[in-house]
Amino acid sequence: MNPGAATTVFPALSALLILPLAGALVALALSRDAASCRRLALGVSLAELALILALPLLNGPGPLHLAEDFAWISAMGARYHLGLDGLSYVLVLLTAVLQVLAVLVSWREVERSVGFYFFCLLASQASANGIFLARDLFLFALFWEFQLVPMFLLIGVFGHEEKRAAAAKFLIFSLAGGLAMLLAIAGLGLAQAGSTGLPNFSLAALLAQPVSPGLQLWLFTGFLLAVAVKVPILPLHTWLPDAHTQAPTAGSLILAGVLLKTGAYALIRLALPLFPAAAQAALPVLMFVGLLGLFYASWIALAQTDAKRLVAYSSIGHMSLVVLGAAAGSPLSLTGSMFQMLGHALSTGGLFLMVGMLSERAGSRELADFGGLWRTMPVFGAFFLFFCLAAAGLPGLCNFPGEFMIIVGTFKDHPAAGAAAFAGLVLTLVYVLRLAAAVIFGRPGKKARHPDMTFREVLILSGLTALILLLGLHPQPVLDLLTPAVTELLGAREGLP
Amino acid sequence: MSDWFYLLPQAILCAGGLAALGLGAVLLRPAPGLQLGGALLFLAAAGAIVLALPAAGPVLDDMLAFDGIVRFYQLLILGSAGLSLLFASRYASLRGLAGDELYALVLFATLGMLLLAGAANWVIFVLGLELFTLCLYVLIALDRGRRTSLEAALKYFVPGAAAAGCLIFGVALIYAATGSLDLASSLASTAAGDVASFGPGLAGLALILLGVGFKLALAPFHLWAPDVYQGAPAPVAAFLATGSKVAVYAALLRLVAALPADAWQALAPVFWLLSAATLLAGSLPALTQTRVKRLLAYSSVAQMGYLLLALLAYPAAGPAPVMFYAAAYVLMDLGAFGSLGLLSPVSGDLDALEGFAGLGRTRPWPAAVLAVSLLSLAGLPLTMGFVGKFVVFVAVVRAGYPVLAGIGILGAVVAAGAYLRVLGALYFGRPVHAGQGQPPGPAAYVALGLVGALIVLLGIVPGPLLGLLR
Amino acid sequence: MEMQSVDHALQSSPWEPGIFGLAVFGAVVLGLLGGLLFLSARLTPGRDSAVKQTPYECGLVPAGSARLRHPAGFYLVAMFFLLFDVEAVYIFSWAVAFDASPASFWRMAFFILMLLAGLAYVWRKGGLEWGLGKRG
Repeated sequence: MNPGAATTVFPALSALLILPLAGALVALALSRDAASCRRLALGVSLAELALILALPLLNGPGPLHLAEDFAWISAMGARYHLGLDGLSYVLVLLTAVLQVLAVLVSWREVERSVGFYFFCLLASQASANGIFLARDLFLFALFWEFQLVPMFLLIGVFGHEEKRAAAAKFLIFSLAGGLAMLLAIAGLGLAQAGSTGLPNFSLAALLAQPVSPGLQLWLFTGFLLAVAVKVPILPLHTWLPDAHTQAPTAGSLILAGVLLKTGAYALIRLALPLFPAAAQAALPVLMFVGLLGLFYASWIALAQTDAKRLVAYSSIGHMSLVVLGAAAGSPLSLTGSMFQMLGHALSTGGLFLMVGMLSERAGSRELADFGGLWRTMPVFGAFFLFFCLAAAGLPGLCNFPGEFMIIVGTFKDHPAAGAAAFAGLVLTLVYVLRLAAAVIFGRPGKKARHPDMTFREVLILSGLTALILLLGLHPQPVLDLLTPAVTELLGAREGLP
Repeated sequence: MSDWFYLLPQAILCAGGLAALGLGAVLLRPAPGLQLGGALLFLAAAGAIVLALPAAGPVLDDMLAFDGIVRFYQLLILGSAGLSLLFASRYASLRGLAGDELYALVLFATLGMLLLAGAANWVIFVLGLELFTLCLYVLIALDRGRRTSLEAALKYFVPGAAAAGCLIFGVALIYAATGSLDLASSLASTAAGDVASFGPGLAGLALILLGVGFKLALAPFHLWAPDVYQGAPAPVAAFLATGSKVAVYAALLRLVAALPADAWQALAPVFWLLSAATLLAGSLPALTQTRVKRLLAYSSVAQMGYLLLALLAYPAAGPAPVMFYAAAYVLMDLGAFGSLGLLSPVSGDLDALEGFAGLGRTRPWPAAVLAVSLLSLAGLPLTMGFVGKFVVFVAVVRAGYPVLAGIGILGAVVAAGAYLRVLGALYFGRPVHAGQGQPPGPAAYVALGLVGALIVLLGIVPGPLLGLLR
Repeated sequence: MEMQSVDHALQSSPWEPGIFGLAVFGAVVLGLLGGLLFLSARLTPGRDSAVKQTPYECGLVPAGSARLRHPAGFYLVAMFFLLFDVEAVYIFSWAVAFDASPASFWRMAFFILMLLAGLAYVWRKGGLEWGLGKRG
């Protein structure tokens, strides 16, 4: 976080926010013409992806570190400060990849209010990028809260049967957490007010100088509330299965792949390093709820009859593992947590996509309605099995390195927790296999005959498959990106300069 | 420069009101455009003079104060009146309510609000307060053919008269205790350690607070608000909810600023309780409302709680938070009530939640401004409400009331649930009435555009305004 | 403009607010009220009968409707009369203190002119039309 080390490039980071936001507004203006809206959204998403892939070229020698810093609301001490390091880069890249898939997958699914739909989708990307890039806490809170609006509209306008209740539940939970964090940010900024009396929201300055341990506990609680809703951490997870089930396919993809990641990111980047003493005190609690979440979600997932709900609970289980790794605080487990965030986004995202494609065809998400798709839709069956295995953490696929690192990293200092997490993973295997068995194997159910995958769908799924294989077989480039961030974050947690 | 110049804005508004009445008497049915244009001209002239006048201490034998804070509030009041008139003009002429009295009363009420905002003397304080209240009694009953409008006026009038009595009694007690009608010096001598004047002085302050609390609809004096807002024509409700509240807050700010430390020590717990009660009493009932105007009324009660929070933090954190939030509040409530009026059919204001179903698709622009106002009221980002809430929370934490900030958050979450239901109806529901309501007309589009753009713009770039207020 | 002469310096008020006097006064009021209520509750027989339930409790059967109808114009004119008549109080007090200066004369002239303008407005707006005729 040494500002001297950062390469300041003006428009590149802002462009990551402005491009999707501008695209969103143009989509709204074009809303009369559905086809051009779709093309526009795809173009913007691809341009964003290309931009992100080109970003490292701007970086000087040394680890990736780009920044932009401008005065914004000087009367309040808030600055427009964006920064990009390895962790942010990986997540922004992930967001862009999922965004392209989300646009492609909703090519046919959404037919009315197309402009408004892509407005929400692109606006949610802009806000997620803002969360990952913000290096000023007020700016961070602004994007954090703003993210709710497009997602609320995506679920509420374009969702399934119970969309209104699900959307409202999502917004109320998130808003309650977000406002608690807002208050904590206000308190933190004031506690570090300089000689001018202006509150200080600069992340670097706040990391360098933690507040008193008594205050830390209160402020950490505020942050943790917000994080616990987003990640989600038990017992604040109850909005998630509803939101996932009711959201349109692309909404579920973004929800699992991006929105939950913003929660875990806030835990790793802000809550734990900003309040080292409180984090240390809360460590047993966090590890306990992490484990509890893993077991609880797997257990509940076993009992689901709705395919999308089952995947949603698996999402909770995977994210609980991320919390466990982040809380355990060894370099290995923290790296594992970050990696697991990527793996979960790809594997669970793939499962959500496939369940979405299936329900688009069958008009049903009930497990009992399917079965035997291996025979009736062979391409679908193959992909589905692949994503199931990826979700179950098969070696060579994207979830394995993360899960392995989390368990090994946790085991070193907390052997009991590591062992329990391993047992939890076995449970994961059980429900994932049950999902695969119910959907693609067995006797065909009453809604099991449908046309197989179209070219567009195969394209989407092959892209995901390639990424899953890449991450599973050759994780080193990503790990190289993450390592500097891990060192720095753990340094802050241990009170090192 | 003569002190009399400081009365010029008020004099212009008085002349404007008389001119509106005169126009009505001479032409009998003047064109609505002429009336609206004239009224806006007078408001703009008053605004220009308020902008041009140099700040000064108490002027006109210490009757009026005119500093930066007063100037800001007076501009806010004038803006609120202008925007309310823009929203009201076509609304009123479509419903046959656009007599000369509408424009004259709005101008006279604005005059009273300006007086109150700048009052440095208890007589001006009471005069201003009563002047705009009297005008509002009539404005609320503007749609006199409608039962609800009359009921609302009566419900505002009866407790309002009682509150006015309390207020005047309070002023009398303060005068009796200190022998001064000057706002600052009477309050200063209330607390001179003199037991004989401190007691009655505080009693007087309590009564004044009661009267003011009624005007602001602070809990537990807020029960009139839902009925009155529901019954009043929507643009009138917009004016009632914004201009009058802001004017009273301007006066309250001067009052708190003039209070000596020991009197503030005695009153701060009262403000604490009042704001906590107002936050909860505004937010919780909003959740169960099925009528949007009542919901907005409760929400504006809750907003009064946030303003009171900011006021409580004023001695520690300065006037910027309470001023910024006041500006945000004015824009949000003008947007909400104004666009509600534009969405309503002539047969009666939209009220039941079902009536809003699908308006986001059939009437996109007014619905969008309503949605932006609601999002801002809920405190979501890229709107003024988010920055305003944050600024208020920072001020409250700085002043050392974290529990109150927690109550504020609780209220905000609960109220957000209420706004969601309106948003849900606007965008998630299927349209029930096609082509409901009338085209708003160019004046209302100007107001819609201004309100919506300002809420978003000041939500993204609040720096200049906040810097100005510091 | 008497207000101007009020001394702004801290001066002790001529009114001495003694809490004791207020307490005694309050006690007497409460005692009197309480006593009256208590006596009327204790001393009256309190028997219920049909006659007692009739309106006015006076034994006579009321005749006719309680709602008498007056033309609305009556109230309007009565109200205008009151509005304009009350101003006389101000004019009388002005006359008593009249110091024969032109300024004082012109002030009252302006006041009366404003009243006249108000009257003209009412007239023009049809407020003086009697009955249900054409009202502007």
